[in-house]
Amino acid sequence: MTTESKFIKRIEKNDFAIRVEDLKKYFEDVKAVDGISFEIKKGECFSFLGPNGAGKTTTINILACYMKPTSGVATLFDYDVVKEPKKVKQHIGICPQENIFFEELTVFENVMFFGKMYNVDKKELLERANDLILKVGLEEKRKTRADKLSGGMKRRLNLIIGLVHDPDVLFLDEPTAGLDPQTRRLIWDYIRELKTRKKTIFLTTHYMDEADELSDRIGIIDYGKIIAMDTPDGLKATIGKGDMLEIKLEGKKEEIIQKTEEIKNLDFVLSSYYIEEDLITRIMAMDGIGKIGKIIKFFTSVDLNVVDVNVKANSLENVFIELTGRSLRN
Amino acid sequence: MSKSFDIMVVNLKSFVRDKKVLLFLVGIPILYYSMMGFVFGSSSFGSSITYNIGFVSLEDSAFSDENHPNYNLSLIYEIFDEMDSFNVYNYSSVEEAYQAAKDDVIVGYLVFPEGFEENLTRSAQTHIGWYNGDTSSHLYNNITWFYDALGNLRDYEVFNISNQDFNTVLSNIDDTDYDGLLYINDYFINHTANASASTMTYHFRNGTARGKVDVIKSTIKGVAEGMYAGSNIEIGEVNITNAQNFSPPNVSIYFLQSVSSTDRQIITGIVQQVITGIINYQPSNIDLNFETESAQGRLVNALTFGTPGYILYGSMTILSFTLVIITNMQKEGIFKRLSSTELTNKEIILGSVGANLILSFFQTYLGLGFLFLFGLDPITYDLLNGILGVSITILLFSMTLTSLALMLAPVFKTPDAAGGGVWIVILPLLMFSGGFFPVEYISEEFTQIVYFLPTRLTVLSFQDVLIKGLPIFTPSLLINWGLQSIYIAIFFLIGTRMFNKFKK
Repeated sequence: MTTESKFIKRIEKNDFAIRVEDLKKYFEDVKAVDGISFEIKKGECFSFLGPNGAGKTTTINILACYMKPTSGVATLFDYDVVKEPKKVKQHIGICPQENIFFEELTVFENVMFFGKMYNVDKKELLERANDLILKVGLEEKRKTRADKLSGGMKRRLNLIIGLVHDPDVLFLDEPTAGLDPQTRRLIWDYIRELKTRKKTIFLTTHYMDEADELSDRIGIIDYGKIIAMDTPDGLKATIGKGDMLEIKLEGKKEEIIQKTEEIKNLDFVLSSYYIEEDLITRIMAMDGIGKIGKIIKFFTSVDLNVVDVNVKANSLENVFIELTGRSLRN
Repeated sequence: MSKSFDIMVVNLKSFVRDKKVLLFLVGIPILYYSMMGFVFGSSSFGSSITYNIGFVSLEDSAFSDENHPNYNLSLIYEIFDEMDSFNVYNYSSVEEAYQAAKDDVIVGYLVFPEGFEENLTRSAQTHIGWYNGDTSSHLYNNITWFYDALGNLRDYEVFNISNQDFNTVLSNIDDTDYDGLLYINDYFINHTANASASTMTYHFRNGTARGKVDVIKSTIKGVAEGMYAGSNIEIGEVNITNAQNFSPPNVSIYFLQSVSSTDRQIITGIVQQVITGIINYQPSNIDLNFETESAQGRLVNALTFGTPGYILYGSMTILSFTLVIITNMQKEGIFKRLSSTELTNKEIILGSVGANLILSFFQTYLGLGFLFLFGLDPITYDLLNGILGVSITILLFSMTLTSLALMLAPVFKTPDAAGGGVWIVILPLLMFSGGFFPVEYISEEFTQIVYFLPTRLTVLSFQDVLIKGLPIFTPSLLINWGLQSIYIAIFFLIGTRMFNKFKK
């Protein structure tokens, strides 16, 4: 039995492409990843949603065999990432957060080079390189040196380099960070196409809409811990149908904190808390938009001036804020 | 293996397509050559050098010229021995001195031929054929006074040829040992007592130094005026064009091919000044003939002598580029990304070695081609040995540089630090290689220490192949290559480990 057919059998036998159990990665005093566990099914698009420094990239680095964990187990098709990195590497593709390729090589040369490094058959590689370049709209730039490409084009090149060997599992680390909406849409379309081809995708992002649009499941990670994990709809349901109101008040700080606590007594208010660093009071309320008048009246009746009111409809961001108490972009 | 080839191609494309690297490749060498030329082109540096030279006297008879103790070769040797510029080694035969030069004990040797002292004594003397063509007479003055007074001068001998046919003597002067003929014109003695000029003509051999002719003429005139007070003496001159001048005493200076033309010029210049100064201490205007010879074969020109240094420098710049490329690949995460592929470290290193080899060979042979246009004239054992010798040397040097780059990349870490900091390593390696100034003259200990620099081994190997014309199986060459290979093994062993760590 060939290695390839052994692997196909292994895939067929396993429902899960990735299994992670109590994974930890500590850098001296910093707990980058702090005991996370999750499983990703074959053909599933799983997203890690979290702010910068939450532990998303560290998790990818461990799964892609770039670094060893402090403890815990991570497997890819039952291959241990620590003990069997060679086998793991044969089946993964990575699109790192930074654009990593040879600046002096052309688009075509870069794709061909990395394909060769993955031992892709020459004839197949040529076809695949042409196909990938066409699909991400770089056809006209195939002979252009990478350092002459625009930011969006570089991201696309960065993406297809990770796909040139047609991997079973794809790690996409912030694939659309800093891109214009048009390029983001183009990359999203390509990721959707990958999903139709039953590729397993592990996506990290701090864009709520990206995770919402593309993911089958989302894990919210913060300070190295997974604090929630569900489908996008399931996560939104955890905070009910309420709306989020952010109110800026003018008055003594102690008074504002006290009244923020007291407003919880109103029957339509689900939760409220004062965010000292932003100097705002955040209130989760049923039919929040319709109750704005009552809320303003409550604060003015206790001699606090309402300077600004901001209403946010139910979204993943609200979920994140509700769970972590801070905005994702922080 | 094919992945190494791909890595090699990528490295080469990075070299060729990066304009900054190209600028670096051209700009820094020009700056460096200018700097080296400015520093080492100054005369103050050369004067601090002490040269080891051999002294070979082939005189077999005892010195006997009591009038000229400064013509004694023993005295000349003693004066040389006391000079700061030279360490003088006395040898009794040319063969002995040649062997010492081959053994690097001396850089060259002076050879004084048999009869040198006697030749000096003769050169100090002036032999004059005296012809009295004066038919007049005078009551008080007599021509014999003049003849006798001239003959009594030290270093002058006068031979009376008045009873021979002057023109016959003149046309056959090469059969005599006269330096010149003095013809006393008619009415010479008669005019000594009146206002008319007393004239005579000095006929000298073709090629006699102007200074010597003038000294002889003024001496003769002075003697005549002394004899005939108040007279008006005039002396004319005629060049005997068909007469050969006597050969001046000859000193030969032999150098090995591996001695630079600059050193040869410095040594020859000092030796000429010193010996001429000694023998003309009591002014006698002896002209010496100094011949610069090769101890074996022909001497190489300055360009050829400098060629090992130029090749070395060209290849050395590759160390800088390799370091910048390695640190840049690390900085940009290329190594990280490549680590997710099936590419091994061995293949990455092999690819770098291949790229560096191609660049080194390209630089070397392109450089040699250009130098040929400007007069490079190497001495090789034969063409095959020359090409093989250069190729093996550059192969080993290129591998040394690659392994050194693997060691240095983790030290400098970033491309910026590597690009600038690498010169801290390159400059001493170049300066003490012997390719740019003669390190062997600083001190014996220093020479022994710098011998173990990989760049010194490379320069010595190039000198053996391109200047000394040695075949590739010469022990000294094989030893240099062997030592270089040991460096490569050690550097790769340490460098690979450091590189693997750095890459992670």
